[in-house]
Amino acid sequence: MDEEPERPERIDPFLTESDLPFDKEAMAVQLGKDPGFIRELVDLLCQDTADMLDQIEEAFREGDIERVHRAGHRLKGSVSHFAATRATDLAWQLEVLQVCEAGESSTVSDLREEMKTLTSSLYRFLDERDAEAQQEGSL
Amino acid sequence: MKILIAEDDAVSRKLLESNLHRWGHEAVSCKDGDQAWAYLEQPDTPRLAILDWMMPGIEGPELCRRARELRHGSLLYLILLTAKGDEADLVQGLQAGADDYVTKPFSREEMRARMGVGLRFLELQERLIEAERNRVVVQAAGAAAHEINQPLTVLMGTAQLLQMRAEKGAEPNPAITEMYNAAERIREIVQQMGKVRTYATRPYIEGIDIVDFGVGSDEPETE
Repeated sequence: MDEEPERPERIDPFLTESDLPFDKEAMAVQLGKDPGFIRELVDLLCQDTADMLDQIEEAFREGDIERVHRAGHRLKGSVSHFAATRATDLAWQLEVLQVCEAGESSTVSDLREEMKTLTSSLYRFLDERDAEAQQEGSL
Repeated sequence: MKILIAEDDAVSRKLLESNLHRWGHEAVSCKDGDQAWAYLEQPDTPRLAILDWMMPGIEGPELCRRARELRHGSLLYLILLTAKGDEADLVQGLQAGADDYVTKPFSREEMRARMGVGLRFLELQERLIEAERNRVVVQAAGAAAHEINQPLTVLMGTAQLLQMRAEKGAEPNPAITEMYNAAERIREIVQQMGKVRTYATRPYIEGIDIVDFGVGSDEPETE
């Protein structure tokens, strides 16, 4: 059985709707509205992201630009399903990066941070949906 | 219907699998292009395939190119899936042999609609193949019946003549009677062949099927 993915820390509870790192409506069009299913996808995203980011950092150290491109491309595909514009854009920047220079690796750390924000935000959103469903069920 | 998915990204793969299941299909999933090729090159591969453009092993466009060279390649409906999205990519994908092209992220309804196009295409193709098979079988059976009929008439007439001559003298020759009866049986089969209207088969030996003239003709089979 797969290990339970590591849950990122909770995001700032005062984050406003417009600051959310994903578009709820667009995500619903792409993934549907079943919180249980979306949670499965977020779990997969967490597992895959950790591996991809490690691969990208390793590829940076080795100067393997092709590997950075491929991992960036794959991450872009994953996060785009959640209508996560900032994360998608950061992954795209890695996909089209010209050189593996130290200065460019800031994009990787930016993406790592953005992924933490995104996944914790998604989990919080799903927790809220679950809580609402429970409340409706108890009425 | 079985549908092949070749996708290295776990999120996209899970999403496709779930959607296919929801729409009543069975997903056959691969994580890389080499695994996908192992399926595609089999004659009984799923006829609709959703192939990621960039994945480990053989990439989507190359899979399309190779698949089209297979004997059953024209029977496949191939959808390329990618996060690439400019016009040059689209042209390159279609020129490689893809039938359609879906960019990530895709909406569920768009994917469903595009798969619907593929399924309609495959259904139409199946009908055309069946119509062509019917046409060939009916024409071949009609031609064979026509060609056999003439020498058969000569054979039966000659057998009757020999028997009539034999009756003038001694007992009827059992070998000639047997020959005549066999020729009569051939005449019945030939008549059935001449009336074949649809393609139908029946098991023969060692897993081989043969055309069943009795089922395909508009007359019941004679024993």
